[in-house]
Amino acid sequence: MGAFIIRRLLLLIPLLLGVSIVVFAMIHAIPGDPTVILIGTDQQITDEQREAIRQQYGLDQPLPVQYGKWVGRVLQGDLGTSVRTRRALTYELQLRLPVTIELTLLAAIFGTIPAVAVGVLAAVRRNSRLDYGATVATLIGISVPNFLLATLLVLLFSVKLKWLPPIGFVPFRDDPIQNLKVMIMPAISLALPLAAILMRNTRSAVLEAMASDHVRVARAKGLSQRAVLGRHVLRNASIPIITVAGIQIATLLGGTVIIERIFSLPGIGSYIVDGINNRDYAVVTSVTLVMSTIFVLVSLLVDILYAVMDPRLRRGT
Amino acid sequence: MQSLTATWHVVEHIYNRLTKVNPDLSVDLELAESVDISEDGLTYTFKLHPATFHNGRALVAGDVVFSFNRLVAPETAAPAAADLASMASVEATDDSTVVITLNQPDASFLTMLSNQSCIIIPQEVVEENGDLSQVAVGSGPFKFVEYVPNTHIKLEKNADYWEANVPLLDGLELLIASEDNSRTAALISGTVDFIEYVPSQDIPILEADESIVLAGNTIQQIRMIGFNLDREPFNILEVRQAVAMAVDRDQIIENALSGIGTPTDTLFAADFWAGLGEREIAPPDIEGARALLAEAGYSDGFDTTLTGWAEYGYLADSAIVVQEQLKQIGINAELNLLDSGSMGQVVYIDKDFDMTVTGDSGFVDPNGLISNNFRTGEGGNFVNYSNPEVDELIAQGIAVTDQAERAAIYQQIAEILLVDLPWVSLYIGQQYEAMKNFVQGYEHIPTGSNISVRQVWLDT
Repeated sequence: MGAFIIRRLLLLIPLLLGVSIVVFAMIHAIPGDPTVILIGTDQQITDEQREAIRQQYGLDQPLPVQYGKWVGRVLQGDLGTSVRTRRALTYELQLRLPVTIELTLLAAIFGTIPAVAVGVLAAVRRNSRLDYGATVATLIGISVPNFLLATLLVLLFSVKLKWLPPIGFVPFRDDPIQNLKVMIMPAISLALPLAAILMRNTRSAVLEAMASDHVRVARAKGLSQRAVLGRHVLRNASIPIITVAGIQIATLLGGTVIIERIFSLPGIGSYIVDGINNRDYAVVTSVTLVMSTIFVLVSLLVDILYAVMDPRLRRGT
Repeated sequence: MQSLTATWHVVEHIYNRLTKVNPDLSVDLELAESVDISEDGLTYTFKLHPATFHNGRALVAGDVVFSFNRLVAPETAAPAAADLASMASVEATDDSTVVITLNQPDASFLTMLSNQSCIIIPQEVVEENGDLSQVAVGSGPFKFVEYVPNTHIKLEKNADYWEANVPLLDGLELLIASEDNSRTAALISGTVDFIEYVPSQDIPILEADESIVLAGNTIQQIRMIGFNLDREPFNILEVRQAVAMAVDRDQIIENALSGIGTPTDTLFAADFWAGLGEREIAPPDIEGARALLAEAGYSDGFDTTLTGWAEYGYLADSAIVVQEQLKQIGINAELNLLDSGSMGQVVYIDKDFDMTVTGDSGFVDPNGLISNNFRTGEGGNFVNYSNPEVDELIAQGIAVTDQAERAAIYQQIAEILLVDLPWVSLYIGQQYEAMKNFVQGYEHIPTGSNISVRQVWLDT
């Protein structure tokens, strides 16, 4: 197990290097640079002045040199400085990471617990009204894009009912109630596709387990429904459920990019969009680096969870 | 874009400038109590109001000298250094007197001083912090309290503010809304009391809401089709005239701006002092346009590209409508919508485009728009226009100070541009702010400035 974790962590190094080179090359391939945005198109300016500003930001140097400098700084724990705010990215991330983590966690909770519960119920009461209702809900959940759901939620809860604010993030430690009021709509929007897929998978995993021989044997032994479900069905159904949940929770991070922007949440998802729009190269490369690391760590965590759940995998590694 | 504009509106609450722009676009004094302009138009002597910075130190003439010298210093590499391009020197003759000498007479100088780049900043705070990106100490009506990135900016009343009877509010909390729709939703839901940049499609909804009041109408801007005059076939006048004949401005405004805009074929709004006044715009003439194209040797039309802004919905939609309209005369333009960074690079720096639907905005003095866009070799002259007669008139336009004389010069330039057609002007946008009906005293300013927030009070 220990060797497995270490091997996976070592794989991070070539992966992050690859990701950063690709992102660095891509963001530089887009026309424009941070000074174009800073100066704007209405400003009266000469070519010499423009060049002086580019020099000030080190943009006159060749790309490999800029990349090398960036890597050198990252290795020393310095993610660079935002051209836009002139603040260290380590500082910006301290402010923004908690927002994205809270949003992802809330979405993970909204997306897993009710989904698994409904999925199990739908499987147990197969072909009931609840099962059909759940199927329809799943279809909607998978087909409705989350930005549309977000807009619909705002229309209903902010514009019509005036219950929830569409913008105005407050940190949890400053005002927990207000924080949750602001976070609930984005978290639900983000969670819906996850919940839909997970419910579907839970239902089929449970159905499959219920149809297996050992469950029939357990029933034949005269075990109660509850005992059969808890001891024999759910344990066997849990592996496919965790697989899907693991992948989906990691992809929630990608969804934050859109959702944080719609609700003006100051997380790293909206930060990376601003970074791209402003050609704030350090922001784009460094935040991608951080996001990739989180993604890999979450998948690693899911793999460890498998091993815990399934003794066969534990022996295998 | 929204956060950028929010920043500008923070600046005008925290800092003072020597001059300011009134709702009627006249230039007024702010921190300057009086100004004396020498006979030759080269020396400006400002007397300052007795103001105090938020750190308690009295603002003196030396701060103006420091602020302006810092702006133009090459090592600052300020993008807005050109705002003070006509300043030769600035000095403080005593604590409340600043004398600025120009290298040539510049009738737009007082207007330039109202730009946000010309704020008066305290030297010791800049020196302590390297720059003013992380701290904000000004002499304005509101003091900086807190900035949480992408979330909000908190300001509190400057109780010792030097202007009498302002500000009336105890503080301002500026929320940052990156999406258009969320601004409208935030106002309706009562999350905020005031929003700027009301999305035009939401205006009917807000007008129908009795608890909400709208302020606004015109804005100092112009939207147009710009031609790359160095490229075929747009170097041919007849082709540009054909485009001008084919566009239907009313249709563009209806489809791209929900009807919220004023069509124009020239540079300025009808009521602007330097403009051509009320004008009859010829209706589109497809036959005439086709005939002109044939005359230029393009009787079958041609393929070209149309570059535009992807991030501003109304500009992107304007480009789409223009693309459709040009099809009628056989011009097949491939649409190329770019984000702001690419637009800045491709159109304004590389000038790698055929036609573009773009705009210019925020100018107060006509010279700002005209010299930047039409003077030979100027950075903002993305269409590569060059006409010695216009260059000469631009120089004259700031050399005389009498407004009637200046107006005549700018009208003459506008007429020449109507003949040369480096642009086909399309429309002047309208901009609205919306607020709850208990927000009192707000006045819309066509530059987009929110300076009148300092006179606002709440009637609750």
